[in-house]
Amino acid sequence: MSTPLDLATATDQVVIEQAALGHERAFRELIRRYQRPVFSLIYRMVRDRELSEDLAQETFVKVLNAIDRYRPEYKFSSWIFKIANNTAIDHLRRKELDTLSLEGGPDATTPDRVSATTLQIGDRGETPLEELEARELGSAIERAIGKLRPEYRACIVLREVEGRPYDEIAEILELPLGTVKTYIHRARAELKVMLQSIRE
Amino acid sequence: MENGMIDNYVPDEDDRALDALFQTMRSFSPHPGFEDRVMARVRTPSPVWLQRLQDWGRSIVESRRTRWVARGLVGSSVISITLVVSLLVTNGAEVSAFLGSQFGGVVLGVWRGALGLGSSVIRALYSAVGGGAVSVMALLAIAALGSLAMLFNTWALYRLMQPRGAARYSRDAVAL
Repeated sequence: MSTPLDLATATDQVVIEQAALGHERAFRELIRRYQRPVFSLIYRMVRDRELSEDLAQETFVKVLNAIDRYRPEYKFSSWIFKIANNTAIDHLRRKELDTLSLEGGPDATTPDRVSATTLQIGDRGETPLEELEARELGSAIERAIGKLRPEYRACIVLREVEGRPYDEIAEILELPLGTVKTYIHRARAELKVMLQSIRE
Repeated sequence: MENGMIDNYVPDEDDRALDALFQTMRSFSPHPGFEDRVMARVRTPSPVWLQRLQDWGRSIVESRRTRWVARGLVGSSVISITLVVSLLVTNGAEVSAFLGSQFGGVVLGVWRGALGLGSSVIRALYSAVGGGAVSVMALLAIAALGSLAMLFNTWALYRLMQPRGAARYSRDAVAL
């Protein structure tokens, strides 16, 4: 009689094989392993906790529903991060299209016109969720990363927070290796300037 | 050009300060119950053996082979029950001794009652066939019928195991 497989100590490949055979425990093990890094990446990309939960869920649903199409020659972590990043970038692009400018209408050319078309928002108190977000993403480094371009942000988070090697980041973001190195170099330079101005 | 510069880059004081800040960054967790919320939206495939069983059941219903399944099951059940009853009846003394030693009087009484009932049914059948003793011809007839039933069941099971449309395909192949 075969002994039950200890999924907690098994490699990703073994867990994925079990998931492809329809074992629910294997699906849950994959969620347990990747929920934190996937959620952290998306949260730092979109900077909204509730939305990040939805996008992280969407990522896992996409990945787990297509587990039988996973190709073992690629790293599972690269595959799931790629889907997470694409999900976040798609959302940011959609949001960019839908966003109403808060700093004056697009046809405002004079300061008076900008002032007249600026959307006024009343000062509302922070909800508990917003307070949590402010606490989690309120440090100087988190705020500085939040100001980077989305592609720089993804590179720097994957490299400096998740500790992924350059070639894996290139695979995740579908960018040439040289471009990834350049983005990280530029992102670091921008972060240094931003953090210097905070210190001064 | 820029790549070469990046590879040869020497970190300065600001870089070290930045790296120290990166070290302070932590990983975030979604709200509790995230795993269950994801699982509620995931289509977990059925285990392979269950998928095969479902396919087999579906193919039987779709190919209208239900009649053959019913015949096969009835035939197999009749043969199995006949074999078990025959074994028990022909080894009545041993079964009685075993039940008496293991379970005591009540079960033994039930067994003896069932055995008596079975014997009287068989005796009634023998007398209906025509005489107190079973002739060799009657035994041969019973054996022949049993063999026919076995053959019929084997054939029925063989038909069941054939993929859908295989018989027609082989007929078409012969015709070509």
